[in-house]
Amino acid sequence: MGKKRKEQVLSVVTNVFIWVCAVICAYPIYWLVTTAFKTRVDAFAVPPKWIFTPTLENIKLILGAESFMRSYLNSALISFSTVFLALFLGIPMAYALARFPIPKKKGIMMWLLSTKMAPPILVAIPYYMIYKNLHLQDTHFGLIIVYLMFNLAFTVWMTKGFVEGVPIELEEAARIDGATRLKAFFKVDVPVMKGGIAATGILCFITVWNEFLMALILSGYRTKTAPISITGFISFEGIRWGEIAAAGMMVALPVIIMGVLVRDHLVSGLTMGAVK
Amino acid sequence: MDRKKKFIKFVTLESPDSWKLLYYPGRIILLLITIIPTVYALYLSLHYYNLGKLRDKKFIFLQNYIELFQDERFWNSLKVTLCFALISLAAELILGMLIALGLSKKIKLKGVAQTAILLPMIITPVVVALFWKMFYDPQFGNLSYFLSLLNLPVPDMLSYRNTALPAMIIVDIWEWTPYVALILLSGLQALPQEPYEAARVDGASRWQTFRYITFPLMRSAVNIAVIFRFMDLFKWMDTVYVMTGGGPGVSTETLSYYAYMNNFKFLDVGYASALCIVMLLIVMVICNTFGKKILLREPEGE
Repeated sequence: MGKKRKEQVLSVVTNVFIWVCAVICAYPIYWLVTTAFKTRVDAFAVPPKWIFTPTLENIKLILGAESFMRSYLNSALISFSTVFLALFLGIPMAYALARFPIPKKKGIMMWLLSTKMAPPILVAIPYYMIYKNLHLQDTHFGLIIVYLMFNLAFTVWMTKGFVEGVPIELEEAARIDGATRLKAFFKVDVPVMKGGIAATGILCFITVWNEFLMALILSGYRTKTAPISITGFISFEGIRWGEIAAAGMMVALPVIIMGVLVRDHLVSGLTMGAVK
Repeated sequence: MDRKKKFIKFVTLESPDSWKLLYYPGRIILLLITIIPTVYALYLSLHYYNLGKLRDKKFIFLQNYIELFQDERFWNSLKVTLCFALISLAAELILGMLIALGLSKKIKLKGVAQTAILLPMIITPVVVALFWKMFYDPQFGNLSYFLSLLNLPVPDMLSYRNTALPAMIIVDIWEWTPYVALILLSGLQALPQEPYEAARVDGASRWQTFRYITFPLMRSAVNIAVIFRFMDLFKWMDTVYVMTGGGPGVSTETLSYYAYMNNFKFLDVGYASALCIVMLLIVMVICNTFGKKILLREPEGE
């Protein structure tokens, strides 16, 4: 009898613990969303106003702030371009590494990984100097190149795992039916890997969208990305929490949606496929 | 005609050499965009190169490195980085393990809880840093309000040398414990069932089961969490930039931030590059000793 009681207590404790953690993790989102809809007075109220009349003032201000909206578009443009290029170059590389006998494969995989491990500041400084000389500072192209460097290796690591997951017999069957290997790749491998490719693309997107240091150093007035643009809100606008919260909410929204969509691939992606 | 056939074979991936077509475009681009900056950083690190005094640019061989090792501020930033990394890592592992164990049990509305728990690691880090900056605000922040409910004093965490780093560590723990927890959880879910049945038959206690079965079996998941977290913690800088700017004083100045300062505030490109190269060497040593073994372990059945 005592044992059963103990089980029950433990179960309650576990439930409470996990739910406390969940609330702590979600609290900032709650705070950002509510603060974004508060008037200036309500945002600074102590004790915090849990119940308040929502206002659209902050959202309107942010949507009307031309420089913020431009940075938002910059972020979207740079993120999508990087994802496209990383997949375009990375999937063939992954396929080659998974299906062809390439010499020194392990060395290549390790080298790819090291490009992710390098401290970004190490890359940022020489790029800053090179771009200064080549007049690539403050261009979308310049930022895309740098982000490609961080994401191409990741794409190869991830998609190599997905290619390996497609049974080679399927491919061979298609080839016996007369398809070339190239055709077999599109007809057999791609449909099987679709979900994995989408998840890889989304994870790349999240990394690029969230990136701060490179954008801080290499972007300028024209190419400022959204994360850089929000830090600007602090200095120009003093401490208007409502606007910062509204902007923060808008910046975080796409990645939250995408992150929840690829929930199951998230851990595997963030460890370069080391955890399945 | 024969050449044309060969070419068609090559582009349709039928030839044994076709991998070159798939592999080299990406490889060459990646090589260019990684090797060039690294070599250039090495080159810069061997020069006196100050953007404010361009005329004095000259080759000084290892002078920058010698100066670096005599620079107290460098040692301070190394200490801050390691202190930050090790404390955060330890806390994230312990908390992460608890959360992973919890999530492996029956939880009410588990899907919802688990989704909430993964939010911190996907939210844009700058937004996270801004939130915490406002949360810590001594006048209007939520923290001071929550503490006042408990009749505790209201601290101004970010303004004092002794509390600024702990405040940043708390942010990191909040942001990255879920990541560690999810890695450990997938490790837990991959555990074989037999040892547990054996332990139950032998009448092992809950703690014994954890200590002698779960923990050793989890070693590889723990290793992966440690290596990936350490790499990120080591290059940590975004939060510093947004929340403290390395201050007060140099109490939260990490290696990355000190390199950033050298390059963009003191304009000493050579010196900043030397610091970066030293960071790279540290990362490479760690990656080669631990990372290689852990990450290249081929999955079963290959």
